[in-house]
Amino acid sequence: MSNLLEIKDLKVYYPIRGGFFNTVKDYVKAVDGVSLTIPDGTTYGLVGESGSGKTTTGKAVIGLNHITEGEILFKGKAISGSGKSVENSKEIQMIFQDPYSSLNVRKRVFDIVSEPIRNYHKRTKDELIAEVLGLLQKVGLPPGSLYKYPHEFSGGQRQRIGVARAIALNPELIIADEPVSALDVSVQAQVLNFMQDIQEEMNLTMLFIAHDLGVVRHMCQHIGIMYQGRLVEEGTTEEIFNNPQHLYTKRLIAAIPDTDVDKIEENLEVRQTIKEEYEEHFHEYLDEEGKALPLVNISPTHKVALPAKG
Amino acid sequence: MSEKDKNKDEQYKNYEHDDDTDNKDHTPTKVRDGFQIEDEKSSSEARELDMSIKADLPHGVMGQGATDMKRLPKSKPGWRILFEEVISDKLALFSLIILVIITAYVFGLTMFLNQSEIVKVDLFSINQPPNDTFRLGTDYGGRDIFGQLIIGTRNSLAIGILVTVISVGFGIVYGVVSGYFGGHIDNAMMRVVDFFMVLPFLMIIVVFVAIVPTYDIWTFSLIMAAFLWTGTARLIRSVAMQERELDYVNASRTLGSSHIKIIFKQVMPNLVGLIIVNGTLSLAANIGIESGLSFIGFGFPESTPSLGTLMAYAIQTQTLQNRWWIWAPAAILILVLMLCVRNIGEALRRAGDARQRNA
Amino acid sequence: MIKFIIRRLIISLPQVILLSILVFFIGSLMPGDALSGLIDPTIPVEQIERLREQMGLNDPWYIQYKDWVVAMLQGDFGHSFFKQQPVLDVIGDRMLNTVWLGLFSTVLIYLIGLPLGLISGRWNDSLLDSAITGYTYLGFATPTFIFGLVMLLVFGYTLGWLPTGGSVGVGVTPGTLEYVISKFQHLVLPSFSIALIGLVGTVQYLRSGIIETKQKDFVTLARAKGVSEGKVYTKHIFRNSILPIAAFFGYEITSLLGGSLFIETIYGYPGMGRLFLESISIRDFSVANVLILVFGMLSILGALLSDIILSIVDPRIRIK
Repeated sequence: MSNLLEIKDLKVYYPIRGGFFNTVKDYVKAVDGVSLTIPDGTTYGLVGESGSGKTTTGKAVIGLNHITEGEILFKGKAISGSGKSVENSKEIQMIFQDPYSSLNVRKRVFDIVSEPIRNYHKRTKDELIAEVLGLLQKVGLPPGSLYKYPHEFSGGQRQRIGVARAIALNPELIIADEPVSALDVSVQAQVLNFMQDIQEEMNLTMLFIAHDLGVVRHMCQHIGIMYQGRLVEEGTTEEIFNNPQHLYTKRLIAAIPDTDVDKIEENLEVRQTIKEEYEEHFHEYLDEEGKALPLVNISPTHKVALPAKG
Repeated sequence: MSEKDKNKDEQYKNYEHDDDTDNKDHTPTKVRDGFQIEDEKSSSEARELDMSIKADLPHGVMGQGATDMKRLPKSKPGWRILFEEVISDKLALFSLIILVIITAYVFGLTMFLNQSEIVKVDLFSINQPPNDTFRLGTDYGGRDIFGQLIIGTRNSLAIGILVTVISVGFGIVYGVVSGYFGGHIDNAMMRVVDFFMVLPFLMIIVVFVAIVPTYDIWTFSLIMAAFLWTGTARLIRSVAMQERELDYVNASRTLGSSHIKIIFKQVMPNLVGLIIVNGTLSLAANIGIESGLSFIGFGFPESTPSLGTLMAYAIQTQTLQNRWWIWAPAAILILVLMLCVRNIGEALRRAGDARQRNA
Repeated sequence: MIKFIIRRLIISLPQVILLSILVFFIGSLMPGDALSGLIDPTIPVEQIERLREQMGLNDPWYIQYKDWVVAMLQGDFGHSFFKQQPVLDVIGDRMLNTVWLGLFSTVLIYLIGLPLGLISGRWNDSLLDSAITGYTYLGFATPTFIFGLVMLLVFGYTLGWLPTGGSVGVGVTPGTLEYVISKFQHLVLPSFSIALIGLVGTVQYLRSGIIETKQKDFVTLARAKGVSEGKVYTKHIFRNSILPIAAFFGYEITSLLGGSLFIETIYGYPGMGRLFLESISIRDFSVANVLILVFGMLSILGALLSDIILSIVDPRIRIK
């Protein structure tokens, strides 16, 4: 199995301008040295709090963000990373976080879903309609949606429209940028399940960005945890959940709600101890800049940013 | 529930029916979304959501959709909603009717009027008050005021519309490009706008009118439009900047659409409401500016009457005091035109705001 | 703060340069040049040509432009073809008149506009508010020149309360009290004509500002603390809503200058606006040209002033 996507030491910096002549004073290091690989047909979960650089990483892959340093290889070929033009849009697609702003309110479902097809293929109107109807059916929307506007749909349905649009060109890689975080909790699981179905059906590779570990657990084979623009821990899903090494990971796992009523007390205790440990020792896991330490392999697939004596 | 809603509901029932009978077996069970109607939504919205619940029922095989392609329900386009809002606003509707009547009357009647006949000096009928031959009297050259008023209104309206189309059109493109690309491009483009805004444009227009040897309605409009696009450009730019931050623009980029396509096909439709409002309000302002320029003698010459040239007679004390029939009708017409156009514009803006709140 | 003002000044500088280049080119488009007003038609052509050469009129445009700017910096604004005197002398008195007119109109705009806006905003949807809103509604649709004509007809001619033309009565000696009163009387109609139409924007802006501020949390808090209703308005709401209006002050100058073109024509008021139109009519372009420059400079100054006031009022703008 080869790697569809390889990110090598990716850095994305934004200049901070100031002073009298508006010169560059400093940089915001949104992404500061991230490396990861995603094998064909698997899902990689990128998890972190807001501002950790996970979305920036995703947008750099698709070409919406510039690359300051490092390399992104898609199918072994480097992406230019100017941030000015989107490359590989036939093969890489994105599902956006906000199902409201990501659909143009003035366009009908037909226009939205057919946009990528019209950009790349010559089709007659009837062919286009048939194709869009096929896509709608794939994502579980009735044909009656074809000539409706986005505001006539609920959040979950809108995200389905977004998915239909993303898979219209038969892409190989999909970047899902927190696709369910804007949705009602009751709808989240259904959208996740349905995305998993589509992934299996179309043999898609996915970069799944999320801010909570619970969501990615069932979606992903590999998980990377980001903090302040760097990865703090990376491994297979089992490794991350069964053997978390980094304090930050442990705390994220403890934060997943447990539905087992009998364990409420126990969970609370565990959470409390981790919290105390976190407050006491977390600075040991960071360098002088408040950034994560370099990753160290603790198994062939499991890497952690542990302090030297940790 | 209105007639239309009922129709819609029936259509939905059809779908449910089709789905239930034909496609039960193909239904992937786990893709059902559980939709919740949120309490804070207005009742009309809740109803729409309610319908979409039915619409979201899973359904079946491909091809079934294609057969009833022609019967698929269509939603109202945005401009129709806007138009209906104006119609439901009594004052705006009244203004629209008056405006349409004036426009139709003026453009219709000018086809039968002979402009060169009307502006010909007739020394035997100087400064006559309204009478049987001259419905609104004559000016110092014995020219028929009524005829001048009709032709003048047409000219003023025509030039107002022309200037608006040119200036708003240019302003839209300029603003949307500046706002969409942002950064250095925006910075440079906005400095140009800043410069145009500090120019004493009335004076410059006056100079151009004075030194351009032959000017007609087109050159005059172009000269005016050259200085009147900045307001639109600034407005459109600020909104385009907000639009650019929305994910649908990013989405279009990832879908392979070019910047030009995104600007004109994705962003522009979202600005249509704003453009219509801005265009109407600009039209009112432009009619005022044209008549003002003609009034001080640097718009149309007397041989091409406009509402402003009729007003210009009032600079003469005698005319202002004793010959109201020359200038008062023109003044009233200017006011009526500007009020009507503004009313429509304001109603459109209110409608746009309301729609934004509901969306 | 000072940094912002300096940076804002740096932005204005290219505007000034661009304006001067534009005016220079408009000047070169206009028929006639510096010689046409000066020379005697009996001088032979060769001599004119020599004179032209001497005065640099055959030089490339950028050298001529440079000479023109340098001359202006030294106070030489050219020569009026028509009046056979330096442009500055022609403009001198007229400028003072326009400044007076502008000053009076501005004072009136704020003196009448602010109370109207405050009343309208505080007691919104009352009968008084409806009357004020109705007035702004009509005012928005009325061009200044029509309103000016009506004012002139009603108060000048029909009622005969006020003088109808000029800037001062005939035969009044400067320096006397009578002179001052006469000047003032001549200002009343023109400045009211400008102000009563010019203030509608201020009224409407202030009204919506107050209505918006009314619903802000800090106002509710002040009320909850037991601050009296009068104080809530004077101390909290008015202060917050008036500040943005202060920032429009500079832009007001630009629109006043535009309006003066019409009003000075209607009232035969000898200001710069009327001088400009006269100069164009008699094709005395060197005067007209300098007037465009003056008006443009005043507009740049107004915009500068507005931005500086805005930066004092609203610190957020400074970050940009």
